[in-house]
Amino acid sequence: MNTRNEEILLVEDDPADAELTLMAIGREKLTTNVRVVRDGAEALDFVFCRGLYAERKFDRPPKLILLDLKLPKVSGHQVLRAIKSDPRTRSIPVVVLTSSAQDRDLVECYRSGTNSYIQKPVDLQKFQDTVRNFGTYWLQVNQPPPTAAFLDSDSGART
Amino acid sequence: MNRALKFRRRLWGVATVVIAILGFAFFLALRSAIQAESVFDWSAHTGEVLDKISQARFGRSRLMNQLWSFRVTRRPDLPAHFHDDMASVRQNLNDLRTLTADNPTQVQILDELMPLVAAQLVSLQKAMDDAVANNTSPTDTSTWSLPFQPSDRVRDLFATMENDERRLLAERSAAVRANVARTRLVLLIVCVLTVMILSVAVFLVQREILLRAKVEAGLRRAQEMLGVKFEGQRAELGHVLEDLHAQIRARSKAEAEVRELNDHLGRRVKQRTAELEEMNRELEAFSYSVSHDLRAPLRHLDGFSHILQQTYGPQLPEGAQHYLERIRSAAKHMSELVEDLLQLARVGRQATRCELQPIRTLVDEARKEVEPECVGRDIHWEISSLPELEIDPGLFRLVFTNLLSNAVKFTRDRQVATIEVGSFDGNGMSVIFVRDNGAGFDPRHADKLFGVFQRLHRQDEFEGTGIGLATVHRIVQKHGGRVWAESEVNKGASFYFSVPTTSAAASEVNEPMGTVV
Repeated sequence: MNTRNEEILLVEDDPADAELTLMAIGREKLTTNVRVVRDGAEALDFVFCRGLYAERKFDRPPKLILLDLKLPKVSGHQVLRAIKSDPRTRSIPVVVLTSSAQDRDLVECYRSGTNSYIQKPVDLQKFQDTVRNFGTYWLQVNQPPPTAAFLDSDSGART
Repeated sequence: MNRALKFRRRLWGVATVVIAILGFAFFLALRSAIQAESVFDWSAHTGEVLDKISQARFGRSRLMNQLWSFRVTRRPDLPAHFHDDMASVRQNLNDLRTLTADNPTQVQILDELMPLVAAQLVSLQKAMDDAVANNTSPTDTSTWSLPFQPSDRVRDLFATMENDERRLLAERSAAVRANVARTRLVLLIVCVLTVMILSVAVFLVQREILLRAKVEAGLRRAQEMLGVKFEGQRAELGHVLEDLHAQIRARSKAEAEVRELNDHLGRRVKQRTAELEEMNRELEAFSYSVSHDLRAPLRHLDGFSHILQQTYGPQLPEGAQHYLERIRSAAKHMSELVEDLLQLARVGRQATRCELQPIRTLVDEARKEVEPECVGRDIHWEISSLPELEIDPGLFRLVFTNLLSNAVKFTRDRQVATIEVGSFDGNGMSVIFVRDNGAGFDPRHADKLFGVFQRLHRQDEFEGTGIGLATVHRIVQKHGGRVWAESEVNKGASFYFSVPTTSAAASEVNEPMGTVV
């Protein structure tokens, strides 16, 4: 298994969307280290270092999680809630990247604690611009949380 | 006071008086009887006393005779008789004392009499004893002396006693007789009184009975009269009641029918509501699916054809480039359709949140939104003063965005476009209009203007989805208003909509369902 420290976890079940996203990331030369998972269950296995990803370590999380909402097995909403309610994973930045612009989804995601919410633009040019913008921001502009943020030491903190 | 009560009271009075008088009479009679009885006892007593007196009185004479007889005959049995008689006389005297112990006069007389008689008796006894002892012959009369000299005093005393006793008896008898006479008088008076009182009572009772009989007769007559009247009224009432019953029956039947209809309607409404809710849920799921699932393939169509163009564009023949361009514009158009449809669905479903809002603000915001479409255009905006209305600002921003966007689009062939926004009042409604000097439309097709997917221009003249005005129509309708348009080909178009000036009606017109026009 790949033990490299993944910079981006892309949770996307649609291969075409995954390809477009990866293409945009590659085109903008943001990183080459992207892990793609195809459903919510696998995403949770990865984030919580279990199942196929049992050898992963909590203190080496991805710098960014790109999360689709409509996912097989476990929905994006559930994945988001699981990540944001666990002290070991709460600090990982999550960007919801979805086709939906429904108020319902927006409200629920922000309530669950998403760091950002982006509707995938239909226009490729706009899509590429969007990927460049948030990729640059989260991977280069934003100061990532220190390792201590991922240790299970603040269980008394808000969940 | 009640007459019957009064009468009863009077009757009680009479009864009490009668009972008192009778009681008194009974008492008197009883007393007379008791007195008569005592008088009888007394006379017996007196008789006994008199008897004793005479026995005592004449016992001495007999003793004297026996003494003389013995002196003469010397019969041996005579001393014994004498002795017995002597004892009898003494006994009589003692009895007399006992009997008259309650009479002081008699006691006094006896006190005087007893010693005198006792002395005489002692003398007699002595003479007898001498006669027995002497054994003198009967012829020797010399020794026959009188044992005692007859005393007047003793005779008087006995007579006094007798007289006294007789007088007492006479007195008592007289008293009893007087008493009896009095009692008889009283009884007579009582009898008369009782008869009188009873007569009065009988008279009273009879009068009362007569009175009652009269009253009863009157009552009966009144009752009969009433009965006749009542019968008549009852018959009348019977008819009325029957009518009423008929009416009630008719009414309750009608009510039952209404109730049944209501129940039926209630069931229908419930059923329909459930159906509509189900439909609404399905519609929501549908619109969610559209928003999410339809957009993805469009993105892929556009995305990959774009990449194809970028990456292999130079190597493709001109025809292929054209087709790729066609694919991309089709994807773009479909994407717009999806967007607009979603918006329309959202407008239909969403509940309006009305607040007082200056329309001018919404127009300005809408103008900002359509600015990208105005690039390189010469547009003359004429915005007059606009009212404040109670509306949902989010929805009306959409109304103005659609109307202004249309105005900008259909004036693009004009050298100088003029877009006017204004308002006027009419019938409690505020009317807002957006007027342009653009291409206009054929008024014969005006009825299609606000239908979904209805377009009055060819896609190559003016692109569009045919959903924008349907959305406007929907929103205005939700606020209790109306929308209409006036135009002539090439002479510009005016779009009007009205909203109630007062907010009251607005919120009531909300349709809960996301029906698409």
